[in-house]
Amino acid sequence: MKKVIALILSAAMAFSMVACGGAASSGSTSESASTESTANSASGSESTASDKEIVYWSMWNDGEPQSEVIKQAAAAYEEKTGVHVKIEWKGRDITQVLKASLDAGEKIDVFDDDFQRVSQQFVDNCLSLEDMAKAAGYEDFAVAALPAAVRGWAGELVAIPYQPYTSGVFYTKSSFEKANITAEPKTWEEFMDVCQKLKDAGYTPLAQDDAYTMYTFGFILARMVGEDGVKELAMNGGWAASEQAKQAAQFVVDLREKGYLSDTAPDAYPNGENELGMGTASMLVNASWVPGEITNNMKEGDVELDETWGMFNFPSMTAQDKDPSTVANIGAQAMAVNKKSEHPQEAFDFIMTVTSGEFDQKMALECNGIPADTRNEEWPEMIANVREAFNAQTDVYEWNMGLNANENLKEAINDVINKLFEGGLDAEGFVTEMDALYK
Amino acid sequence: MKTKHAKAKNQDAGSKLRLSQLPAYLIVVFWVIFTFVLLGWIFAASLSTSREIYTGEVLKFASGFHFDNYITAWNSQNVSVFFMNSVLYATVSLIGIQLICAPAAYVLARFMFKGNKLLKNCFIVAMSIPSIMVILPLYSAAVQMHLTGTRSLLIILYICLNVPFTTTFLLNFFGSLSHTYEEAAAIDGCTPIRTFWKIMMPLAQPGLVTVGIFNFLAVWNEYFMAMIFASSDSLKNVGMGLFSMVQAMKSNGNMGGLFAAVVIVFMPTFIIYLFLSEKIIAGITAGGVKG
Amino acid sequence: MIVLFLTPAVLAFGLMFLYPVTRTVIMSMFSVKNVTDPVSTWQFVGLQNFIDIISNVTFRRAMMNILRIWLVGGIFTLSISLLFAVILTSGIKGKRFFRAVIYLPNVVSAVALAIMWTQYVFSSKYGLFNHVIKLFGGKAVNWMSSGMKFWSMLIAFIFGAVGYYMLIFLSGIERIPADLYEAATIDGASKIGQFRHITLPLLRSVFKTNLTFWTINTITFFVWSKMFSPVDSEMSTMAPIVYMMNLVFGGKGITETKAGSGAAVGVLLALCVLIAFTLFNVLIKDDEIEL
Repeated sequence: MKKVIALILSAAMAFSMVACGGAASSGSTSESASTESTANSASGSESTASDKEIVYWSMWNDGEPQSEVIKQAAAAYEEKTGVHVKIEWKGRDITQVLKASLDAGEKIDVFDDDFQRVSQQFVDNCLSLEDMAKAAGYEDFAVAALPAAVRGWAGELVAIPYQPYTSGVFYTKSSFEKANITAEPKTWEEFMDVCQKLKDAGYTPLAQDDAYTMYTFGFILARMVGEDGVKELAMNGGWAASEQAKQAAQFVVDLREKGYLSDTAPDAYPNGENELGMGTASMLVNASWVPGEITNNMKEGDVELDETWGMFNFPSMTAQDKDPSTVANIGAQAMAVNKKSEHPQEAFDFIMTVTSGEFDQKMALECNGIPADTRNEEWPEMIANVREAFNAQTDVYEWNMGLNANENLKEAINDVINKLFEGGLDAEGFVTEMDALYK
Repeated sequence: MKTKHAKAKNQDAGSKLRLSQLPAYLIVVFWVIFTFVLLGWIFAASLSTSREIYTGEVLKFASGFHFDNYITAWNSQNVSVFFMNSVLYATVSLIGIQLICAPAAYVLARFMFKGNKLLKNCFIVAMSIPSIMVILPLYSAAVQMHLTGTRSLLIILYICLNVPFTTTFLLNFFGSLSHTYEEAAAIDGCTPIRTFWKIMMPLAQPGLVTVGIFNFLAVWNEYFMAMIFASSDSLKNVGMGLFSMVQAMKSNGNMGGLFAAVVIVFMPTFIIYLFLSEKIIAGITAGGVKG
Repeated sequence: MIVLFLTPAVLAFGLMFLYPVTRTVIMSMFSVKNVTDPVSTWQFVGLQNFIDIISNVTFRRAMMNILRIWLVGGIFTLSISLLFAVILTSGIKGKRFFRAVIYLPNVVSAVALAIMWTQYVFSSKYGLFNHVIKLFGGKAVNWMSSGMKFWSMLIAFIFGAVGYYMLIFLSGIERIPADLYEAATIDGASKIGQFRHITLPLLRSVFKTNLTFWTINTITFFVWSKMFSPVDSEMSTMAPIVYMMNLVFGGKGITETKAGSGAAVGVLLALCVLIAFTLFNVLIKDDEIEL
């Protein structure tokens, strides 16, 4: 038996040595490692621009509207500069493979993901873009809040945000017309009035998907205690001791008890948002991609959904609110340059081709998003109403307004909030159950 | 022999319908209808629009049959790529597995030598190791050796992953063959290696076919390895391809196309199943009872 | 020849199982941030990784979930599949057809089945279940609510699994010598009596096989969890592997990866498998007669 164990161990040692050897030499061999790019990089030292190739790992899947626009941009960029862009469509799973691949020295020049994730999780692998951005005059046309957010997380500009989104309450204009609602609500009281009017007109006032319960509740709570206050609660508990937390839960209970929430809320995503598309529900707390999403879901062959979308800022909750109603969750995807890239300037230029000017405009129109380049005046019709709110925004919340701060309890917190929306808890029960998580 | 006898008896009894069997029929028929409704719904959904799927009007076909879903799925949603990848992974690893396992199983079944039992046991233990125990080091090694993003990596993994099961399966099979073939070959002056290729392999064909079908199906729908090791669209197999389509549904919104993809992906396995179901079932029961 | 024939299989085994398992076990006792970090940066922490994950609410819930899947799901899956196996061997007409249809869900991609369940069967407004409930005058159930989601997922999982276990039971029952039943019938034993005194005792080893497969199946529970919470992982459908993937590769809102703790999850799960198998071997004795 001992012999066997010795054999197994030595075999394992041999294997792990092979693996370690690979690690030690990976840095120096990265150039010739990628078989597909060997031909190009071999002649790299004396190459003209026309031999150059940059590799872009994309968060999109081939065939999505975004990937179509990016393909066009890459073609235009190659036409202009002679630099070939090799695109690897990784899809959303890029989050899982990116860090390991970057660390291992895989040949990647440009990559993208959610802008907060790039600025926090991948910041060590990002090249600082400050100088190149200055030279390109990036700040002159950027949506100021976005690079500011990147700098806030990463300390410097490490990524160029594109395809921004904002958030708030989205509604169908047809329902507001039918219920004779002329003014968008600014406070919670007005909001509740609007709900009543919609209910009287035969609508389900507010739809809610299970994937977004933290989003809605986060808005309510962050209005009262601010994002830092939400983070503090999420991290260290003390929900029962907080008057505002109890009150926030009570607001949700009110929605449910007065019959303003959909019967099936929180429904399995995307059934909630589809209630708006089917014309049974009127309002939804979500982000600016949602009109496009619902329209897609409701597509009937070539027949598009005939609906005009409205949007207003998430209302103020109380007179003692910490945050004004002009604060919202703004986000974006962001493209970054790998620190190990051999062609950083080319990589940056490609990023600028995608994220500004002609192709930024195209991206906004084709994907029903917001232009990242303020010089692009044309907004897609579907979210034209978002523009006013977007331009008036004064500060930025993170995704779920700070409720995500506690990595260990994130799912548990979500669970309790879901129960609140389902009507399984009252305000008192909610804060007690929340605090029980921290024991 | 006993088994055959039992079967024959059962079939005799089945020739007349008895009232006491009614509850049994009811249960089975209910389950079968339920299965048909569910799978039928998937098929109906592949011919419907997104709106019909989301609003529960799939089985009405109010807006007609949308066969174009299939064209969209095949062309613009990359199902053709996933499909061809799965074909490649499944066939190449199928051949590789058999080339590796058949000789090993033959030797383990026919020759006694030191460590024979240990190896057999190793393979049996390996069959029960959850794959999560192995993926982390494999992933790290693959990244360091710059093998990620290649089709050969996945094929190697699929081959290695199926070695314990296939060897164990074939072991039983070779073990049941008569020794007289080899003795006759030896008398004719045939070398052991030649004997294996020319005589034993053809004799083992039924076993190889069964385990081959099984390997093919396993690789075809494989999901976990592909998720970690096939990160680009161009490398995904159908299992992983479907999953990323679901995730991208947010910006695509084409549910009809998704279900068309499901049907396309399902078809090859279904056709194999239709024609070879007796063999698959025999394979599962043989492998199952012994394993 | 022995060496030549065995080397590829042994290499595959070492590459795919021996080396990774050893490295995972070692890694579970070190603090490792990224899975690709070189060994020189690992820091020995003893059992700290295990303490960390066990004290985590989400992980405990994940373990609780698969325990419930194993126990409740196991009771239902194995009894339904045993029931079907008994019915199909009771001399029922159309046995081959029923057997084929009951097994059919196993050849369909789990991704497709899961979409069908979440979008169709469990849909709160248009779903099949709520439709049937309303038909009988009942009140619609929100199948996907946080309290119900787990059970809905379990129902879907059981439906997909029954066919496989039924086949294994079937083959076991068919190997029971028919003369035993004949003798029992002559002695005047009822069908139920025959089942209790002949079928069940003789199915012990088949039962053990099924239990073993069921255990591996639950430990590696993953696709269904992902599909029932497609946007972000949720408490109600959390499974240890999902938790581990989040730890190792980072999920939404997770900025710090902990590959060492991920390896610890893997080791814990493998230990569970080991303990379960040992228990089965001790508790369930093999049949007296070799089937």
